[in-house]
Amino acid sequence: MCDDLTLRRAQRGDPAAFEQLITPLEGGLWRLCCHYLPNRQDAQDALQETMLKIWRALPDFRGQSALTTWAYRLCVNCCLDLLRRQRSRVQTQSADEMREQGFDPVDLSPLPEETVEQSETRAQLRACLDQLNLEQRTALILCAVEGRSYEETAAITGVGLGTVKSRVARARGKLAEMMKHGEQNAVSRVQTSERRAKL
Amino acid sequence: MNCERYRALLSCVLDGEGSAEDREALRQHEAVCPDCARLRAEWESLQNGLDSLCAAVPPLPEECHQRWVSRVEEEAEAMNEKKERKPFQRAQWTRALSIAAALVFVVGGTLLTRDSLLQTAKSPQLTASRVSDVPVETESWDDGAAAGGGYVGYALQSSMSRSAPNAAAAPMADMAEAEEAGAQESKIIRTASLTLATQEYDTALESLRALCREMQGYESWSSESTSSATGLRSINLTLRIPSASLDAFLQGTAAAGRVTYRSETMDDVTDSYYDTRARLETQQALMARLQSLVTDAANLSDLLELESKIADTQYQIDRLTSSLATTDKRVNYATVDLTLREESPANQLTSDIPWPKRLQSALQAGVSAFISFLQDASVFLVAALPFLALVTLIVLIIRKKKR
Repeated sequence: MCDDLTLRRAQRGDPAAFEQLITPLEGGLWRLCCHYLPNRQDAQDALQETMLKIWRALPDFRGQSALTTWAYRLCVNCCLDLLRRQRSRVQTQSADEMREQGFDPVDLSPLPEETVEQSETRAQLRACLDQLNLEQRTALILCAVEGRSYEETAAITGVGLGTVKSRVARARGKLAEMMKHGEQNAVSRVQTSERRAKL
Repeated sequence: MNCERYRALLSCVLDGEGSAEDREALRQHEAVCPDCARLRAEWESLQNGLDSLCAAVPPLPEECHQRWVSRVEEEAEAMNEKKERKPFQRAQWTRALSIAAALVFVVGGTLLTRDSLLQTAKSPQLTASRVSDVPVETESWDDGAAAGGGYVGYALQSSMSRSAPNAAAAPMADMAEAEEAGAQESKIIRTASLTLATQEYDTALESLRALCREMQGYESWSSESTSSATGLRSINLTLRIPSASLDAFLQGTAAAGRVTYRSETMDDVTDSYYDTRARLETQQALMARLQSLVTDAANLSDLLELESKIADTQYQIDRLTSSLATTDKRVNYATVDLTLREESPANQLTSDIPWPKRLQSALQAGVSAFISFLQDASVFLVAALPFLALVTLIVLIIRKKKR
């Protein structure tokens, strides 16, 4: 009842109600942005754009899906748009060049409870994840990384349940293959760029 | 279970979507397929790595939260300012549209009522002239009706009310003058045109004919027709009424129906009449002289020449006598061109219809027009359906894209 009231107030243009309504989703949306965008600044921009899109589109929200699902859909679209715009820049520039232009990669240093090996695996995984196509990547991030149900993922991405299952399984298989065989070069590239960044 | 199916099911189970039966099926397949058993170990390790990705995401910087919150507040403020301006503009639009709608309603309603219901604001003559008449009955002419002569006096009904008594008195004055001057009587040919409208067509026609007979007049020509569109009748009559009784006759016609048009002309032919009479007297004197010469004729050739002159003179005498007789007849009998039109009750003057009846007919006409409008609107909507569908599709696509 309270949520409904907050939602109605936010829909009528009350920024305080909007903040109250969206702040619980902020963490999940932020993680999603970080999974998609390696640059922290880009992730922040994506989050801000997502929040503004939600704010602008909220008066038209009719509750046909859960607010979380709807917000995640907008966030995924924002991230994909940003990613498509930046993909060419990322591909044609070296890590150093990007760093000179303000590239601030997400910190890949070991977590407190993590070993260096685990940290390297995570870096390798991250690099392999970026090699997946956007559809498989989205399905894998939402289901396997963020723990969203298949049904919810289907609603967010606007595809059928079977498609989601198939995309996740294929993405997982591809990722496992990449991790197992030919991605040593990718890992070494990431580690080199990391070391350079730290220096 | 084959290996392909195993992978799909394993993916589901790792994502927490599999059931106990699925897990059991996986175990059974792993027991017989070492490759799939290794795959499971790899994928579980991969899943641990994916879980660590989630844990490795740094917390959201506080300034990032503040940034979007302040942007939202700015937009909310701008939106409020826009909203404050909007009601004023909306109110202005609403007022202008209300006035326009009221004008359209009043003007449109008036025109609708005028065109479709009453039809009385228009000139009755104009209304009558719209009817396409088809002659259905006989027409007949009397033998001495057509004769020339320039009109010297013409007056419509509006001026007739002032001029008619004077006009009637004028011949009297002229006659007195003529008597004083040399016993000359004024010769005035009077012609009247009259249009009557009535719902009691047969009764009115009968009473007009009776009035004509009462005035010692006669009917010289008639033509009756029935409108193919409305079924209403009308008759054109040419009546010859003794000039002395013309005013009484015209007054009497008012009882037969509603006078919608009336005019009267007076042609003063006094001068030409007495000229003709003088020429006649000259010819008669010439005839007397020629006849006296015949008795004194010396030879046959003189006699033949005189006879020829007498024949010419007799011809002139006959022609002038006939002309005088015709003029006398037209002077003594005025010509009345009368048109009697049958009218439907709807053609009555508004003031003649009782107010409740007007209300009732107005309501009926309004309902009829409304139904007609709805029918037209539905036809229009059906015709516009493909375009509406296209526009709806475009709007839906745009809205979906926006979302």
